[in-house]
This record gives sequence, C-alpha cells and structure tokens, in this order.
Amino acid sequence: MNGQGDINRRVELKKDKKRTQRREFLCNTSKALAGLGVAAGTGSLLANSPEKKADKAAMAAKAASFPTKDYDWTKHRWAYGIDTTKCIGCLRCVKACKVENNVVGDANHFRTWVERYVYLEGEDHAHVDSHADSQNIAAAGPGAEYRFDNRYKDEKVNRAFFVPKMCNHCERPACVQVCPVGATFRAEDGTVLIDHDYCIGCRYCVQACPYGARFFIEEEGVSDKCTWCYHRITKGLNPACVEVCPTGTRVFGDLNDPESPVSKLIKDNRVQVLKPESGNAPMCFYVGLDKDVS
Amino acid sequence: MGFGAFANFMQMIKKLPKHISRLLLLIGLFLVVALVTRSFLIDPSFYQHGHFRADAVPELAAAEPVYKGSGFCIGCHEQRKTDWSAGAHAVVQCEVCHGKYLGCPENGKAMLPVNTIRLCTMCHEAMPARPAQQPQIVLAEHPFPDQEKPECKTCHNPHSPTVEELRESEPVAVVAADTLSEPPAAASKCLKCHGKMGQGRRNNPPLAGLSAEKFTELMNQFKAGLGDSKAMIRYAKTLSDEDIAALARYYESLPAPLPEPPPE
Amino acid sequence: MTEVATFTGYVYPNETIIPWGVLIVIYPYLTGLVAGAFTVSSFYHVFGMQQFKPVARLALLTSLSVMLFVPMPLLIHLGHPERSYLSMITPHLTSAFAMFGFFAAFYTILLMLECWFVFRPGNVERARNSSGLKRTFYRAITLWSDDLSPRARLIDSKWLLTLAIIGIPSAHGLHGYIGFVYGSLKARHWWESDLMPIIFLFSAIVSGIALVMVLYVLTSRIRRTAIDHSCLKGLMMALWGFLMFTVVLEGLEFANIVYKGKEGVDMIIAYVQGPLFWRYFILQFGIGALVPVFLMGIMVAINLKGRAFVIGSTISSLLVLMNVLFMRWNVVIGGQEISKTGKGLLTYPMPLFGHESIVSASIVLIAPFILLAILLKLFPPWVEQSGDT
Repeated sequence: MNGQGDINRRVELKKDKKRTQRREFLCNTSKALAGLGVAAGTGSLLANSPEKKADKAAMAAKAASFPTKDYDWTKHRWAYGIDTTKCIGCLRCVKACKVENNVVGDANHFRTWVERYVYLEGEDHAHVDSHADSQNIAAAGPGAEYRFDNRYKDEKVNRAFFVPKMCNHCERPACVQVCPVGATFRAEDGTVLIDHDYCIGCRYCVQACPYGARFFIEEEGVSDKCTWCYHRITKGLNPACVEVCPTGTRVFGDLNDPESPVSKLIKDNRVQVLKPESGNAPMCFYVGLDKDVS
Repeated sequence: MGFGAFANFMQMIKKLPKHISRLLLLIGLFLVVALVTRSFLIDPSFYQHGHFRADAVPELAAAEPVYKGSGFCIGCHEQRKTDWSAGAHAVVQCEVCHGKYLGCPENGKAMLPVNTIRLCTMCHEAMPARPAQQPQIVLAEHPFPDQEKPECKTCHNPHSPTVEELRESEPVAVVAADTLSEPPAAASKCLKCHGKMGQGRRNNPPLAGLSAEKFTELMNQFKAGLGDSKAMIRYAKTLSDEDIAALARYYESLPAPLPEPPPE
Repeated sequence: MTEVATFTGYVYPNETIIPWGVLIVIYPYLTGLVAGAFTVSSFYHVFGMQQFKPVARLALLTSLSVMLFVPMPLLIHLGHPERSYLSMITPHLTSAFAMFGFFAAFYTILLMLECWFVFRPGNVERARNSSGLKRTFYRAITLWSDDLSPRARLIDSKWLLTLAIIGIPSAHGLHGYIGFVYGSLKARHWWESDLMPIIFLFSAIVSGIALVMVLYVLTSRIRRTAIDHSCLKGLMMALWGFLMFTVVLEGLEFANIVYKGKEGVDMIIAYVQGPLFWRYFILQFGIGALVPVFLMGIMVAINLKGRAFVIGSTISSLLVLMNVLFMRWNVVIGGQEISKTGKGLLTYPMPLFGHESIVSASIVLIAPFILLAILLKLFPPWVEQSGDT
C-alpha cells in the first residue's frame, strides 16, 4: 500500500541520510585527524629540532672540557708571529708542514709557503717568486723537495728578503662566512678549522680567501688549509713549521699568556698584518713587511 | 575556539575544487617529509658549539703528531746531547736532516743525509735575500779539501759545525790526546787555516813539527811586512814576541802529519 | 689529472690550480636563461601584453626544462655531490650559496606549479582523448581531476596570477643571487662590485629573450607554422632595449675599475689589453653587443618586415646568446686569471675531456634542450585547446 511504501521510502531515505552523514562524519573526522596529525608532527619536530637538542646538549657539556679532556679551548687565544728579518728561506717549514699534515707533494698545494722579494738596483718594484716558479721547481728536483734557486747571485741587489705565508686564522674569516654547509668554522681558541667529513667541495672558500691560503684536494674532493697543526697545539706542542724553523722566524703562542713567544713578539715590535683592508682581522703578525708584499 | 576555526578551515578546504585540495595536500606532504628527513639527517653534534659539526673538533685534535721533536730523539741518542745541544746547530731539529721519526730502530734507522752539499746549502748557500747574520758560503769559493768531490763533513761536524770544533781528519787520528800540550791562546787564530793539529789545510802549509827556530824566523819576517802572504803579515803584526815564542814551542811539539800531504 | 695553470708575474702557489672552471661558467648561463625566459612569459601572464601570447607558454616550458638541469653543472663540479643536501639541511645563513639553494628550490617548485596550472586544461583534454599508458600519465599529472568548471578556472587563474607575480622576484632573485656571489667577493677586484647582481640580471633577461626568440623561430620552422611577426617584433624591441641597458651597465662597471685605479689595477689593465682583449672587447662587447644593438636599431629605424626581419632578429639573438656566454666566461674565468697578488696573471687550461672540460660543458648545455623537446611533445604549448589560458 502507498502508506507503507511511503514509510518504507522515508525509512530508506532516513537510512541513506544516516549513511551519508556517517560517511561524511567519518570522512571529515579522518581528514581532521590527518590534519591534526600533520600539525602535531610538524610541531613536535620543530620543538625537538636539532637546534633545540643541541642547545640542551651544549649546556650539559659546558662543564666538561672541550674538545679533549686535557685541552679546554676556552682557555686559549692562539696567534702566530713571523719575523721576516730572520727568515733565511731554507724552506724547512714548507717541507715539515707537508710531512706533518700529509699535504699533496707538488708545487700547487701548500698549507704554508715562503715568498722571496728581490729589489734590484735601479728598480722600484720587487721581483717575487715562490715554489710554483718553474726555475725553483727545477732547482728543487724530484721528491717534493722545496728550494729557492740562486738566480740573483750575480745581480746587483738593493734589498731582498723572504716572507713566509700561511692561513692567517682571521678573527672575521671570509672563508667561514661563505661556506654553505658549515664545514669550515672558527674554533673558540681562534683556530679556523675544516671538517673534511662535511665539506662538499664547492671551493667558495678558496675563492673568498684574500691571501690564497686555501686550496682544493682533488683526490679527496675537499678544501684544505693550514690548521696551525691543531693536533699538535692541543697537546702542548708547537705547529710543525715553528718546531723546525732554525732561525726563530716563526713563533706561535697564546695571547692569554704574556710570556708566550708571540705575545713577546707583539710587545717588542711594531707588527703588521697582511691586507688589513680586507677586514678579515688576521691573527698572523708580521715584523719587517715591505711595501711590495701583497 | 580552536576547534571552531579548524572546522571552518576544513569547510573551506572541502569547498575547493578537487585538484586544488589535492595539490595542497601534496605540498603539505612534501613539507612534512622534508622536515622529517631533515631531522633524521642532521648530524647529532651539529649546532652544539656553533654552525659546524662539533665532533669534528676532537677528531682533528686526536690525530697523532708526526714529528717527535729533538727532545724525543735525544732520549735514546744521548751522545748527541753534548755536541748538538751546545753547538751552533742546536736550533736545527734532528728530524729536519734525518727525516720524520719512523719508529727507529724497529722500523729501520733514521735517514742519514747522503748529499751533504745539497742539504747544507739549503740554509748556507750565499743568497742575496738571506740576512747577514746567517753563516753563508759561496760554493765555488769555499775551501773544500777535495774540490773534485766537495764534502762538508770533512771539516764540519754536522751536529756542531763551527770550525773550532772541526772533525779530526784521518791522518792525525793516531795521536793520544794527553801527550799534547795545551795550545797557547794565540793558536786559535792559526787553526782555522792551518788545521787544529797544525796539519795544514789546502794551500796553507802544515805547522806541526816545524822547528821553533824556523817558525820564529818566518813569523818575524811576516811581522816586518815581508813575505808573500798578506794574511800572514796581518796576523803576525797582531802577535807579540811572547806569543810567537809560545806558538813556536807548541807547533814544534806537535807530531808531523803522516806522509800524504794535503792535496793542493 | 689536475690541470695546472701557467702564469706570468707572481701568483700565490695555491692559485695555480684554478678552482672554478667551465662548468661554473655554464651554470650562471643556464640560470640566466631560466630567469630571462620566465621574464618573457611574465610579459603575458603578469603584464597582460597580448602581443606575447604566442611565446608565453613556450617560454615557461623553456624556463622549466633549463631549471631542471641547473643543478647538473654544480653537482658535477662539487667534490662531494652526494653531500650537497647538507646545504639544505644545515644551511649556513651567512653564505650566499646556501641561501641560493633555497631560492632555487623555491623557484623550481613555483615554476612547476605555474606550468601545472597553465597546462592543466590542455592536460585534462589530453587525458580525455588518449588511452592506456598515456591516459594514466595525463590523469596522474592532473591529479585525477577533470574539473574545468568556470569556478575551477577562476580559482586557477587566481593561482596563476599569484604564482606569476611571486615568480618575477623569485626568478630574478635566483639569478641576481649569483651576481651577488661574485659582486660580494672582496678577494677579487674583477668581481667585487655593487653593480654585479644587476649586470648579471639584465644580461640574463637579455639571454632569455634571445633564447625564446631563437626557439620560437626554430619551432615554427620545424612545425611549418607561421611566425607571429608582431610577437617577434615585440621580443626584438624588448631585447634591444634591455641589451642597450646591459651594455651601459657592463661598460660602467669596467670604467669604475679603471677610474678608481686601486692597487692591482695595472695588472687588470694589462690583462684586458692583453689576453682578454679578443674575448672582452671584440667578442663580448663588439660582435656580441654593439653589432646586435646596431643591427636591431637599423631594423627598427627602417621598420624592416617579412623574412628579412625574421633573419635579422634571429642573427641578433644568436649574437646576444654568444655575448652572454662570453660575459659569463670573462667574469668567472677572467676573474680567476687575475691573481689575488695583483702582480700576476694566469691562463686557464681547459681540457677537452674530463670532469670539467669542453665535452662535459657541452653535454650540460645541450641536455636541457633535449628535455625541452620532450616537454614540447608532452605538453604542446601551441595547440589551441578550448578554454586554454
């Protein structure tokens, strides 16, 4: 009968409606839950971000000595001194650095090097040469020996001198600024270091250094430079170059200690830095620089 | 309040066309995946001390030094303590000439320099840029006993190279030290050119065994400005008669060198 | 085998191996094409210049296909490309490279979104009219939606406009950042200049316009369809105007260096008069810039039309493309050939084969266009579908 049909239809409609409502409710709730889950997940991720975790760890670790239990980097402020009036250009430092730090033994990769400046009589500008010079390479011979040839021995020389160079471990290093990943950084004791496991080898830092102190190791795909022999200075030793220098040209020490060789050098001499206009504030102090030294 | 806003938000999402809502879902998913992946991938020690991997610092500090330093070498090579530490080469570290420590003697002996000319001239070849206080020689003008095969070690003890502490060359090695008299003070001027034992060097004639009479005669001639050696004239003029007498006695007492005269 | 650069005068020993080679020349060239092509598409999509409708979608696809290959020269160049993600997860905020990574990622997503919206109606149609694998592909691309209702289209057009508007500073930021990388580097006088980002940007726009012109003429020839001369003329005028401005900027920058005469300028002048003379004055400025400026000026002055006009425009575009390539070369390689000592000059040795070589640079240059050919087949930008934007 129609009445019954109507009722049936109405019941069916109600059931349908209920089903649709249930479906909609389930649909909406699941979407809402998904949304909430996403929000919660993201929120917790941000709250437990590596940055926050690091803060906590750092606070816990502050009590302990870093980086090693015998060496606390907050207690030192390293600096380097070079008295160019004493340098004899023997290049024992260049060799020692390569041996100590396993640097590529050719004429194109140097953590430290020495430049020779020669003013000939009647000339205003110095002739400059270093280890990549072809005559010096010939004089050095095979086997990663480094040597200056004696091309000026018969010339009339006004004045001439040697200038050792290296990474200046600047206070405001341009190389650290430009590193995209944080592979190179300035330690709290003033040393600028490179994390060879993090470097991606883009060589932006090599470009940014005004002193040409950085280079790229093709075989390892990372950039490298002088580290003031961090593995030695954290054990109370001198960098290898300072250790072998026979004339006392190179000195190293802690600026916090007024008796350290570098503190004494700075106290007793008028010191300069290379390219002060770069704004990098280098920490290698030179005695006896000359107008043409760049 | 939050739930109301969220409900409104869900309503708005629902009203969007399917492709937009799916697109938004995709973008949202991408961002979530990116953030999750990031937190998994970041090295746990990063950010601890700054924008770098904090573990890198102890790793760098942990490397073993290669150069041991001369103090370490002298620990076993005690005999070096006397001649090296007190001599002019006390500033030259052992590993500079002998190479880095290799674990001697288990891993073989330390390197002994072979070509001394090449090694020594590294520091001592006269070069315009070298400061004057550095002892330097012009190779061609240096008085090597054997000009054909110049060898620094003949006269210079590498561990204490100042000429006063010359190596005693083979020919006079047989003399026992306690039979010799003490050289007079003035002899210090003579030994540079005539040898520590007066055995003569290069063009300079041996004095050992020369009769005191002959010695005095020659010296007086030089002192008067006669003779063909300007240097000797100069030296003789600085000596008093007592000095000459003492030197004459001393050199007469020294054993004459063995038959081989030093080559010219 | 690392190539060692020969040098004259005095250079730091570490400089004898030149760090950034030919791949780092190609890289800003590609991003420049990306930014420039996007600018062309924005003439229509943002500024509503109907004149440029025929090339607007072609320009978008060009921008996309080149953008997808932009990381390639970088990854090949890196010492550890597998670690490149580190600049995204721990970006050093002071580093232009790190920030560039985010700009690039953002722009890539934006460009993909914009292309998605632009080609959506066409893709929906193609989904309807194809079967099998093709149909699955187009369905997936459209996120399984075939909503082409007026409401949907309205929302689409709003998205499109927003994306296109954000896209302009985004594309220009992407390429301007590269100019900033060079311009902010105080260690090299040849690069250090406040004008660098702007120079890079304008030469990028110029290269993009030129590329779109060449592709338009080329694809029209291949498809044997008529070239819309008013569109081509509009492109040519844009090219002409931007090129003149670019030449002025580049000339200003060089004049600045010489006029200021800071320490090291003698070496720069010696370099420009010597090894760089042909690449800089003759090829970049002369043949690459002044000739097209005059050529296009003449074409405008005599109101050249027809086939001659098409040929003249194509030649101008090709010369401009060469100009921009030389500009990138002279900046990147030139800057490294001038020693940081200010006392010496090096010569970049470019090998034929190897990691960074003529061969690898050529592959990186050609690859985007192979992808473009594929994209043009998948998402034809010139088929007038019903309801296309």
